[in-house]
Amino acid sequence: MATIGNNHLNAKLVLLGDMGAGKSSLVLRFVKGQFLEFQESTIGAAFFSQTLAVNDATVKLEIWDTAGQERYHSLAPMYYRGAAAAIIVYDITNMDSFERAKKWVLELQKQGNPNMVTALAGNKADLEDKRKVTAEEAGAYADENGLFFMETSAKTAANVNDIFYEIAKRLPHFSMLFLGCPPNTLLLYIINTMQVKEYEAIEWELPFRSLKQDKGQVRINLCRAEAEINALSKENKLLDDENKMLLRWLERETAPSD
Amino acid sequence: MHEPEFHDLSDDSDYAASQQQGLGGSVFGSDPGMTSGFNEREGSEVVYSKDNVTIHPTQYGSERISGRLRLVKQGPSLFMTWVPYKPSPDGADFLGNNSNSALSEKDRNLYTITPVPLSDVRSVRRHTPTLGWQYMIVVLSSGLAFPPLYFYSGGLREFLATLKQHVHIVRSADDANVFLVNDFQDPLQRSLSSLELPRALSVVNGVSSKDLASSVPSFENSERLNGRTYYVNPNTSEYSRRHKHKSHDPARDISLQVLEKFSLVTKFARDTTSHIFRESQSNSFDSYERKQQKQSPELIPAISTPSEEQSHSNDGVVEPDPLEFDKINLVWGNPRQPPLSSDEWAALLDSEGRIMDSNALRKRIFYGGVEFNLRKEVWKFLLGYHAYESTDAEREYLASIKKSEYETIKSQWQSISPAQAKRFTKFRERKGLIEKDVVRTDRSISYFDGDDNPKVALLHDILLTYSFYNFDLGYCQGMSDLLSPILFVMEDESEAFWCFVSLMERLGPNFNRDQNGMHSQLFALSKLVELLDAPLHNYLRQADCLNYFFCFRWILIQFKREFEYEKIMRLWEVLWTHYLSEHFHLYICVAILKKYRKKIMGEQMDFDTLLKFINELSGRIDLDGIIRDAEALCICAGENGAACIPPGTPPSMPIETDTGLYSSQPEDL
Ligand SMILES: Nc1nc2c(ncn2[C@@H]2O[C@H](COP(=O)(O)OP(=O)(O)OP(=O)(O)O)[C@@H](O)[C@H]2O)c(=O)[nH]1
Ligand SMILES: [Mg+2]
Repeated sequence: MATIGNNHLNAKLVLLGDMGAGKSSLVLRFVKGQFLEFQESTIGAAFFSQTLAVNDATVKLEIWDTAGQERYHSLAPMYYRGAAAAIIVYDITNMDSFERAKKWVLELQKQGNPNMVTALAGNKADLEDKRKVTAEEAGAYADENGLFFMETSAKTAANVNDIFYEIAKRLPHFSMLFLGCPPNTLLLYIINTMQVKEYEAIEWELPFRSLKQDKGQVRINLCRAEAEINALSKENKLLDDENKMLLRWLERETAPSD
Repeated sequence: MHEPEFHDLSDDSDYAASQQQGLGGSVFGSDPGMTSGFNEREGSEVVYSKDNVTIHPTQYGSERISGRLRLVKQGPSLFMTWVPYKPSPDGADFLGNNSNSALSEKDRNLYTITPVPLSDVRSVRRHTPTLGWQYMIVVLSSGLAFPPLYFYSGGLREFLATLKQHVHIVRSADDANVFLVNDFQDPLQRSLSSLELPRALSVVNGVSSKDLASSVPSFENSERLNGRTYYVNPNTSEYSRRHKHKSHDPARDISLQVLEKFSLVTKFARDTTSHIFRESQSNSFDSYERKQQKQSPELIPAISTPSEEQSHSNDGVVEPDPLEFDKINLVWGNPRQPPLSSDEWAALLDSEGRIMDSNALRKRIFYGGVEFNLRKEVWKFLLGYHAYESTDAEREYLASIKKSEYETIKSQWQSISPAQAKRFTKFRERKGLIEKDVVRTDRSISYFDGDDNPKVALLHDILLTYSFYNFDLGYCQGMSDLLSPILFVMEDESEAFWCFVSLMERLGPNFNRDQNGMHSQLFALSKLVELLDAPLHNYLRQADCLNYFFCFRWILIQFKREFEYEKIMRLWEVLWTHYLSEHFHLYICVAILKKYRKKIMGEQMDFDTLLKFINELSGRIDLDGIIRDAEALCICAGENGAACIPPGTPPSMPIETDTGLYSSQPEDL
């Protein structure tokens, strides 16, 4: 989930996609500017972080790179749960990998955070002569499903920084509110907004447990968030219900108790 | 209508289930502990019993009621029951959390599931999240549902498998995780299933070590541990006073963990240098004891409030290693020896090539490894491909047989024509997975580098042949990592294949679709850390890292990505000796974690940071030092350590069917 402090946003991003589609290669290109012809397969998961400047703020992307094989599918929710963004990668020279990407899209729509920013990356765009998936087909699919789409090449670096940058720009403002708010409040919020049962919400809540903030900081952040929400609602950028709920929640939280 | 769905169901269970098919897990004889208002009469049979099935009455993970879930067959009907344990005297559950104490007897009764006939059940929904534990929700025909039942010791799959044997269950068309349950009525079905009734399953020795590891610490338990420590130290007046006190008020003054630590230290002392212990009784022992008390988990709240967490980080003090005392006073790990040489090896063989003292050989390799040129020969024994007592001639004969056997299996896929492959999706997929992986396996090692290297093709052929040899398991990412050093050492296709087969017999469960093999190892690891470094355990609990997924890669491929090539061969041969423990790899994990405990706790690493940190340790771990640490930890943990590891945890051979996967035990509380 994305969190904010002094014009600085932390956001969790997860890479999903078939094995060999180039997830690790994309991260490696983005984070270290390297490309390895024989990039090892990912076992379990790997974690990277990279900070970007977007407009007048900085965004630190905390990137989870997962293992692609179907067999390890059951581990994936652990990594996409609580993510603010996802890049679903396929290999343009491999139709199966595109089909797999569609499955990931479905799964995220079903299980993921509804406000997740999702990108579709058609990787290995340098291998034009081996292409099996056309940009038109993938683009149309992306449009239908509200994803933004780019063809990338980890090898030539084409569009690699762009796709991460584009994600950073699209991170929704209101997810910034979650900074440092205590797990219980969050839980309640999740139960209310997502209309899920308590025990389901517990799963949602887990990623937030690691937030370590003292109370003063929480209050400051919540005030900032409140101001932000007010501004947004003036511009009619928030849905009405959402807005009310958030305000109610903020009022409760910012009330000078203890 | 039923057929495709049944097929679907069994397909889901894949490899693990196919190994257990038809076992049913029925145990004959009714369970004497089975009361709770259930109409007990002749012919009732517990067909499934699982401990540590837990309900969370509130949203807080720390509040839980653990109990035992059972399926009981009575005549043609099947019943499900769940009975919570009585509160344990020290209020700690098997995870060491002091949680149940907050819940009243009323809560317990409220949640008890008195026998409900399966004919009243509409559906079972299973959840197998990776963060946290698997659970299921049982919905009744009335529309009511029981609260989620969490399987802390696994067993959800067996539950469904057992259900499947006794009642009609079909998978919901809407949701693959929902199983619709019907009563067991069709007489044909019944007679069919009675034909499948398991070969007589015997319950091994009453209580298995799994139960020891996972049982709720009971009063009897503490007593026993007390007794043991008391026996070693009868003269310490302070100690006997404590012992007495504890017996009278078992409630909360010392946690079981402290007692376990005492028994651990005293056992170690008894086994090795008890005299040191006696001499330093009056000083070091006391200070050790105080230290232990300080680290008792009761002093660290299960749920720390943010401000407490803050103060924890502010003073920057990391709780000391509870075993520091042992390190100073006792020998910490034996010095490593040079690798086994050709001369030594020759001296270990009799005139016909039998290994005379396999234990001596394993010990020797455990402490020093094997010289490179001997590996080709020695690994075959360590991996179990060759028997220690076999002769040269027998082995030569075996090799020729196995070679042709290999060729036969290999020809199975080689004979698949491109046209046939077009209609054989599973084959194409499998081949595709392997092709993608072999080209990126150890290509920086000169043996595998360069374009069109024939060794890479060998990796491919062996893995594809293996996926036909064990079609249920197939190919999984990570296998190419395990094969690579074996091929490098064997330099022979067939020999490498059979050695890989032997290795996979032990490590196969690592790759199960349901991740059970991995889960049980990660669970055992968490128990070992709890035993050997309680402060670190408490830290990881508070940081929500108890699933130990940051160690996933270590365990899945036996540290292959963590050490350079030469080092990994050394580590593997040490692990394969199974000299101190079959699960020495878990002690290696503990040793590495302990080595960096200060950094992990001092920097307050959360899961993300910890995983990144662990991944980046790759290539930076001092192998010899870690093996020494792990050795000392393993000795130190002794039986308590072994008890942390459930039977059948890889790389133990999978539990044989007749040891009773679903053994029913009398109530232990
Ligand atoms: N030509 C070309 N090759 C690429 C590109 N991206 C990745 N590759 C190659 O594709 C192979 C797989 O790339 P990885 O980055 O390991 O793929 P992954 O998705 O991380 O795979 P898993 O970790 O197994 O899930 C490697 O050999 C890369 O060198 C690309 O843009 N162009
Ligand atoms: Mg990868």
